[in-house]
Amino acid sequence: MQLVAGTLGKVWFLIAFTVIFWFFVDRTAKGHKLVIRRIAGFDALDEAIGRCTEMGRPVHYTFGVGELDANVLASFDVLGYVSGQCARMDTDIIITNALGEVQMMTEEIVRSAYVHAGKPDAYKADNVRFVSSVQTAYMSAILGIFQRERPGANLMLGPFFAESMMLAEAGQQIGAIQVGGTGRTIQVPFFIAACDYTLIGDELFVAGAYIGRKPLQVGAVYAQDFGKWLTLLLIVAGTILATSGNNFVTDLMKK
Amino acid sequence: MKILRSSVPIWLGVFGGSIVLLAMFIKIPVHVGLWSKWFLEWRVILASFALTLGAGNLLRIHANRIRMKREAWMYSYVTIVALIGYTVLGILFKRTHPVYSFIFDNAYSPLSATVFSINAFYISSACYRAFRARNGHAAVLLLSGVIVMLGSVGIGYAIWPGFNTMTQWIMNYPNSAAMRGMNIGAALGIIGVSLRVIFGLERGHLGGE
Amino acid sequence: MNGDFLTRMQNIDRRVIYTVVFLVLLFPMFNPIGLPLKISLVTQKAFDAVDALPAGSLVMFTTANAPGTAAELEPQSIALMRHAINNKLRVVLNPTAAESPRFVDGYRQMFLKAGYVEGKDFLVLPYLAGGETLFGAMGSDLKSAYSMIAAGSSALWDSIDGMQDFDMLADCGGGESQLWALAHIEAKHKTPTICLITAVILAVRQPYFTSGQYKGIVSGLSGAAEYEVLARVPGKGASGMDAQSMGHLWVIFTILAGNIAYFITKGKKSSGGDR
Repeated sequence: MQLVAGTLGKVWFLIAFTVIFWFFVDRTAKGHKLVIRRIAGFDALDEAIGRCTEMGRPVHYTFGVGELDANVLASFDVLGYVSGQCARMDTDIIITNALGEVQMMTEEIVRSAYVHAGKPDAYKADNVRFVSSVQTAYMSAILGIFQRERPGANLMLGPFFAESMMLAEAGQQIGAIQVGGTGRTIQVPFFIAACDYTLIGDELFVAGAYIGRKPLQVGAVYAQDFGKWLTLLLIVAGTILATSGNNFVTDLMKK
Repeated sequence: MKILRSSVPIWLGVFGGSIVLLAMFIKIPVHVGLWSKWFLEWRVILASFALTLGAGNLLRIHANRIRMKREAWMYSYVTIVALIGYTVLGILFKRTHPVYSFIFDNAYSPLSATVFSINAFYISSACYRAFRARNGHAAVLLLSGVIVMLGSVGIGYAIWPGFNTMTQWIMNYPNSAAMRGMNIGAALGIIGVSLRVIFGLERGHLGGE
Repeated sequence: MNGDFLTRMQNIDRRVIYTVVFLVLLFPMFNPIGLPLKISLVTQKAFDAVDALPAGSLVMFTTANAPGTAAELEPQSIALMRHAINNKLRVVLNPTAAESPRFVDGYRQMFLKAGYVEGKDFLVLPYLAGGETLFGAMGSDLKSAYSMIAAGSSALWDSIDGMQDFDMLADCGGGESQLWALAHIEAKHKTPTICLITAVILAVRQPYFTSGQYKGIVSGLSGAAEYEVLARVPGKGASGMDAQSMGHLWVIFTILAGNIAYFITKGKKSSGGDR
């Protein structure tokens, strides 16, 4: 068994990260309490749903036009929570989808959230809408929904591309309270400019741990933070060594 | 039934994720490598077929809108005719057929470009609202934003060539440093989510809260 | 200064902003101003990387161009295709988004008009869905990813074993495809890679240029205009630059006006307001 060329450094990093990952998952499984700092974007979800309930307007939720990746998987946790809260508060939720491959999963998540909330009859299948996988068609479909159905909250969590700016600004124009979040860093400035709350960088990926307070997932979040320290250590060590003429770290990462 | 809904998807994720991950790093025996290749190919095929699921949902929703005469129901006819008509046209005549090309070039392309161009207007109003120097950090953001805007276009160069040099510096150093930091954080988040799927800890996609 | 006016300057009606944006973009299209063009380092390096390829070199051009992004990506792509033709490079055109094949048809016509023989000097691959998975499949086994292309149907395709045979990868798009190209092809096969992107994503692609992973970047309409100048292939890129300049100027004006009004109002409030 041989390593693929150019992957030695990555393999070592992955092994180290996996060990840290299991260490923290194991700790939380054994009952150690680990704390996650407050994240305003997630705290604002209840405020947004409550506002919609007061105004009698629906909540709008969308993933963006990317593809089924970690952003979508993290967003599913938020969708499950938001759908459940909407069910409990008798507030409509409209989900617009550009990803054909997750349409069935989206329907299942929302339906099961309504079932868990004890209101299976309140689930409206027509509110989980595949609009288009084409970015511009997706954007115009949502702009139409904003104008016709005037959601009181616009939640945009997932792999966003250029549609982030348009949807956030259109949501701002109808006075919706907005939460934007994506691991695609280039879209973060647009969300910051137009949304009330923004999840920056890896904040979206802690959704399951933060909202669900699932201990094993909290452990995984700790591993992520330690991964950052590990990366920082590699960068600092690599910089110091390279400056003094030793390319061990840089060569290891290239190997 | 419960096994099909919960355990099977988790084990598929564990199995598929591990095989593809291993194949990225290790030259594994041929038959295991083939599994990885098949998973990747299935993903490509499924992505194509998934569109059909989406189209089915779209048709159902718009048919319901027409049947129940909901607000703006007449536009649903346009959606259904466009969806079915253009699909049939593509299947029967292929992409290079003049009718297909005519619709693409004279209806689809201009409509798409128009919707996309709305971004220019929305960015301008968002910039106007967001770029307010309310504190020191916002002032730095405002200043660097204006410099990069001027340094990226000819008028900035005509006003003062130094804008261009400053833009290059901002993009190469502060911007690259900040983006690298955010990218590393996001990448670790992605690895974390992926490991949760591979180890069967991630269940958000299976439904429920 | 009148307090009402200052308040209005801090809350300019968005319809006013939009109308002026429309007018300042429209005006230079009919009355070109001829503003100067400074070649950026990223475009220069992209041009140099392509220009350094000897005649007959094999280039894969993956494109996710779509009508929405075509205003920026199409002038870039056309300039690159014309440069490739002038330098007699062999090109494999690969549409990676559902809307891209129509654009690839246009590049195909350009090659045919230039006397290229399809299947020998250039090749058009069929569109395949899959996004990152497709790039992963291309990086690990290109031929089986496109197993629908029959052996013997094209001399160029038969001569290729995998991505390791390419002298350059040029990826065009406004999404994530440039990162997939780096992760699955550049990292694996050390294929020199350049990217053609929308201007808005330059900020996140720049770190990969400074690290040397991209040999160069053609970014936005300005990148297209610069590439046209460098490759001496006049096109649509340069003609849109004046409009872009004026648009930028108007946005800067609104931002500054809003801030000046904000500071005057703030100053008045802290000193006791209007009397």
